[in-house]
Amino acid sequence: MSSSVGDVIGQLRQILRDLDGAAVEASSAEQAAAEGLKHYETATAGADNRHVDSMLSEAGEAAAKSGKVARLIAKAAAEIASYADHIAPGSIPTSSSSTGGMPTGESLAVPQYSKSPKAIKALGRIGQVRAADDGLQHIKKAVDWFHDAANPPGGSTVSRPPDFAFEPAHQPSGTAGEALLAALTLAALGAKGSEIASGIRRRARNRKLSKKDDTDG
Amino acid sequence: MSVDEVKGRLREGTETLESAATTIGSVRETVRSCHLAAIAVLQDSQHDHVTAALSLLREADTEGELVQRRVRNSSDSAGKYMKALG
Repeated sequence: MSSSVGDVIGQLRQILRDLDGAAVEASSAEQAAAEGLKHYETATAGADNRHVDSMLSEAGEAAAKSGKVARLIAKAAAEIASYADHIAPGSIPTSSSSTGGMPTGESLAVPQYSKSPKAIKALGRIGQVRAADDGLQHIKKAVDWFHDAANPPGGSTVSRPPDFAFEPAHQPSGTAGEALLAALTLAALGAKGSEIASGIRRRARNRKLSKKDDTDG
Repeated sequence: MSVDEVKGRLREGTETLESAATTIGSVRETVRSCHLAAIAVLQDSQHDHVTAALSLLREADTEGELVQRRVRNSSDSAGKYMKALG
């Protein structure tokens, strides 16, 4: 078995998390049982029957005992939290169960993932994606600028490439790289295009000159 | 309320109660696994908090079992009452 206090605290934290969840579950079972009892009461209003007496009292007990289960779990969690605090003071933050009561409405309403390191990391990643997305907009502008420069209005045979599909959720940096590559390709195409055009012009001029020489000679 | 309406309402009550029993079944599983984990982690500890926690977890499991039994009794009675209604 693990021996360091850190390991023990880590395992106790996991137990406390599980117990918190179990306490919330037991509390919801209490509510469900109370709802079931209400259905029975409505259905049997005014009925005088021993089965009715039994079903109502047993359902009422089921609801009450579900609530008791939730309270017992919360108390057990509070004892474990106290022990953890005894062996490593301040190691267990005040949690819903360790306070000795049921989780508050606020603790149930506020998503727990917001506190977990994994969630924080994920949120950070979302921030990065958003930032990457912003960056991509600028890159797209640059691509458009290159495209316009390579294709002056009116005389282009190169069809306009389709809009880039930005998918930062998958690989924001990869997409940014692809956009940059596309921009460079377009720039290169533009340069190459004008090079080819000047070559054609040069060849045409040469042909014209040689023709002229032939007629002159 | 007609007999059919009464029966329908009783069935709803039984379903809701049985869902509570199922939830408590899952709670008991968690409680038992936490109990075992706590014993393993806090081995040989006779500290008051430890013994109290383990005892409370055992009690929670027992109470959970009682919830399941109460739900079973209640739905059995509801079934018998429905039969009596015809």
